[in-house]
Amino acid sequence: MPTTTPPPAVARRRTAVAFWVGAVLLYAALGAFFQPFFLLGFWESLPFLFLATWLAGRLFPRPVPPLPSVPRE
Amino acid sequence: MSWAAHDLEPFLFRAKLGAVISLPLCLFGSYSPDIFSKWAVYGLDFTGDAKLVADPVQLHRGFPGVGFTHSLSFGVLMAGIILLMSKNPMWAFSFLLGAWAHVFSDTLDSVGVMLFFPFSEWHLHFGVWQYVGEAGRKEDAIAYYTSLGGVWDILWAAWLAMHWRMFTAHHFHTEIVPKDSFWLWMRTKTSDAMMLSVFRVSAFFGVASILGWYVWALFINDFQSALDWSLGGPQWAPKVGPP
Repeated sequence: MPTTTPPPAVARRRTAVAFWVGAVLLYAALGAFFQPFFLLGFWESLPFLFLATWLAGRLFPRPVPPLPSVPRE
Repeated sequence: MSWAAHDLEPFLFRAKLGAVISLPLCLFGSYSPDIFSKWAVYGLDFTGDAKLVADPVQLHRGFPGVGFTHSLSFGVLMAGIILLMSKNPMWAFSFLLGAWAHVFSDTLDSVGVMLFFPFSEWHLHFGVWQYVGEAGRKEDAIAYYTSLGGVWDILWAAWLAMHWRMFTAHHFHTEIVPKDSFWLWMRTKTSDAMMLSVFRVSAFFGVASILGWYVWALFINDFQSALDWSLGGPQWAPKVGPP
């Protein structure tokens, strides 16, 4: 029986969604099981998220479109 | 009080209202009523044993106290200051919406808010769940996430999940950054990864904290672990009303 392979863009999107679901679950688990240390605090989540975002950029490279420049006063 | 709802509401406003909302300012507004008082309400440690004030409820929601931060006029005043300083109506409106969302969310607990302060010190409170902030962060977390408060957070998270595409880098670069001068300024200061992290952090934290607190409250803590979705629950919590 022939199997269909999803197009690369679809596969990439699915992998990216799985990556982020995993990142949320990992941070939730860290907060739940090492609660006195992490305290599930807002500021503690920022370095974790920065690391995950940086890693996602390496795993799923994305083009950054050119943006309008900051208007000068 | 509400927990993750304050982190998630601004994203829904951005998703539904579009470019009239500046997400950073809406988040700032949403955090502003508690930003200078929550630490004093809970005390210095996790258990709530290291209290800083004799009456946390009075401090948080009353007057004298900083309860005026949970009023409609506080949002208007702060938005007016932002408008005067920045000349940016979008920023002022976004702050106002975030601050008012916080205020109306907090009407759902048993203490409520002085909605019309300084004209009245009357508290609007619906008592859907108990206010347990005076017991410290630990008991408040257990009480909130085993009561209808946790359901309130889940509703916001589920609604936000339907808009997951707004968190993609593509959406951020094409729809968010060009329409808010905050991001245009920020991109001159920092990296793409940092901008994306700042954009996503409140939603990431909000959703992860709902999951984490539920796991902890239901399966790990050894105090109270049963769900109590009765109106005004959890019933084991001491009844606390407006100061």
